[in-house]
Amino acid sequence: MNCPSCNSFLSEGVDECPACGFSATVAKMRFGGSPRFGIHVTDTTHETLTKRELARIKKDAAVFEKKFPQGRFSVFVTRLAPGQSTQEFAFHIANQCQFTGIKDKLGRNFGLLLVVNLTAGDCCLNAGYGFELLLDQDALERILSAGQNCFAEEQWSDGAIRCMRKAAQILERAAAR
Amino acid sequence: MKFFRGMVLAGAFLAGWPVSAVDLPLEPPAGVADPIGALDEFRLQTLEDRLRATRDQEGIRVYFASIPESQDGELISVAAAQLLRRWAPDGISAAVIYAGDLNQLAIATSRDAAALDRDRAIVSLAAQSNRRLRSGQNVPQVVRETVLEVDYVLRTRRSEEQAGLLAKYPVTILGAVAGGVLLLVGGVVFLTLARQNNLFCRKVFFPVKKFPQRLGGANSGGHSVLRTYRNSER
Repeated sequence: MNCPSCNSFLSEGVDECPACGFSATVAKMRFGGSPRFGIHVTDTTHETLTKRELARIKKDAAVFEKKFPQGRFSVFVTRLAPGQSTQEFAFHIANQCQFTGIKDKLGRNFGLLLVVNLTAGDCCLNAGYGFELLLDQDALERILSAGQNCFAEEQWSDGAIRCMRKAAQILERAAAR
Repeated sequence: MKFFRGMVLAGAFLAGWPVSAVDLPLEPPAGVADPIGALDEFRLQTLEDRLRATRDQEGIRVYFASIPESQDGELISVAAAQLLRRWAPDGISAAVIYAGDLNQLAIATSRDAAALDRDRAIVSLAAQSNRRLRSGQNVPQVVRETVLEVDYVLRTRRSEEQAGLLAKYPVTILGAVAGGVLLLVGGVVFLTLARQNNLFCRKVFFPVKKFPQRLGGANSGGHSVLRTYRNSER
């Protein structure tokens, strides 16, 4: 696994990145406490996603959960301050906000969090511990690529839903293996 | 008793015995035949003219027979059926026989011409005509009207056959079609919605494995990827 801040390799069980010193505590200092969130979709800008788009994402996220009862796909659209890292923020809220529920810690956490940062124009997909063995780096890349074009055209809900469906497809294959 | 009587009549009809006493023609008449002279020339001709259409279209023949009063009253029906049986190969679909001695008439229709549900109409028609005859109404008039009624029954039957099932049971068929279409549309909508909502999907469960906490994260150890979606020129 790599550090979400400096991308250097991390061995198992390290409390902070040996290269840059990044950790959950550092992230909390940078981003503050837990923001207000919805378990399926959050739009902190309050203007990017329409009500209809929010409903569409919620509906597809519910379908995702029906197929994978342990899993959850959450979408978080935000506008970070310039210079703030989307990947660090995704790591921060994945640990601060209980998207998957308070009991689902460590290996029981099957959460996928898609963060779209409108300021930097990038998006990050963060996986919980439970998905680490099922979704490798390449799989996460493929999931994000599925929605990339839609995000480029500012079709946020379409992009998120494509990512969700791609994730379901890959997870189904992974589970079959 | 009625059953027994019916059996005797049926056996007699099949044997052809009782009607052997009645002089019945082997060949069908052109339209109306009156060998017993029940009608005078003028009345016969008038009746013939009026029933020409029924003769040409439905193949109905009228026969004035002499059946002695001493014979069983039901013999006339047997005679009518016998006549029709003889004439059926010539395309005759109905025969109306009037027995002068009994002042009664009987109607026989071929099975092709009148279905079973029409037989009841024919029987009640014959009964009604006989009542009129007994009440002393004019014979040619009663015979003529009876033949026209038979013609109507046969014609209705034919038009129903030609119109087919749709005309016969329009509400039932339309209901069945509408029900089928509704079922089909409902099925397609249900399956589409079920597919969209993963109603019949197989639930997938993942194995839970122990992971040591990384970077102090309780839910995620930072396993993530980042992509820029915005084009560089924007």
